[in-house]
Amino acid sequence: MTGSTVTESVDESALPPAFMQGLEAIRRRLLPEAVVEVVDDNFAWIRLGETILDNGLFTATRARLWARAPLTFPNAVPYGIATAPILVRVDGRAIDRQHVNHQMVQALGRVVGVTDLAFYSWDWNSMPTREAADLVAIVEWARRRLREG
Amino acid sequence: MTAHTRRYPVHIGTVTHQYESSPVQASQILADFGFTPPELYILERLEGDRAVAEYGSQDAVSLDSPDKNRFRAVPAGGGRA
Repeated sequence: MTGSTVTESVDESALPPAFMQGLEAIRRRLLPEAVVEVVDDNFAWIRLGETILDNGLFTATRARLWARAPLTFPNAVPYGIATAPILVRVDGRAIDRQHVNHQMVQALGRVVGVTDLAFYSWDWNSMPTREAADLVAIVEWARRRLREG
Repeated sequence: MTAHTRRYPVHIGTVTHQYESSPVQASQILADFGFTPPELYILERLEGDRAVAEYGSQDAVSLDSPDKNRFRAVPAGGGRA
């Protein structure tokens, strides 16, 4: 029992207008298929599609990617990304701040039907927060985390 | 005789803008595509999904090869928390 409020079937019309402006900016400018997968308390997990991992860092060559954004953006900031599969480094080293099946991804896992997800602590420090459309930065923000390993 | 202005298409994500000169400062490209303030971003030139060059906001970006003018705007911020 976590005490969190999870919305697994998301009605976008019920989401805050500023958040939806940000989501629409993502769709219009970068990723038309971006959707809110689940809302867990005040945060939404946004599906960012499949990312090609061609940097030779991981045993997997592609991963499904999600980013965790606050419904109150830009008054609060994104924190955390998730992948399936759980990424493993080719060199066997641990991935810094990767958490396997962390509590933060449990609701997401239920919705997408994935048993094993990895959560990565990744913050929004020095990122744009001036307007709702700044949420578009979340796409490359999340992808960069994977490129860095 | 009609004078034709050369145009340089630039693509980021699903958006394309046309420029009439080259080079263009990276900060101008970032701002035109809505990535502001441009100082918070790095502009990366792409071949496939791979970055082959990167430009800070003050760098000049050559657009002379129209088939190589696909970029991504990568935020410079964010960190391991």
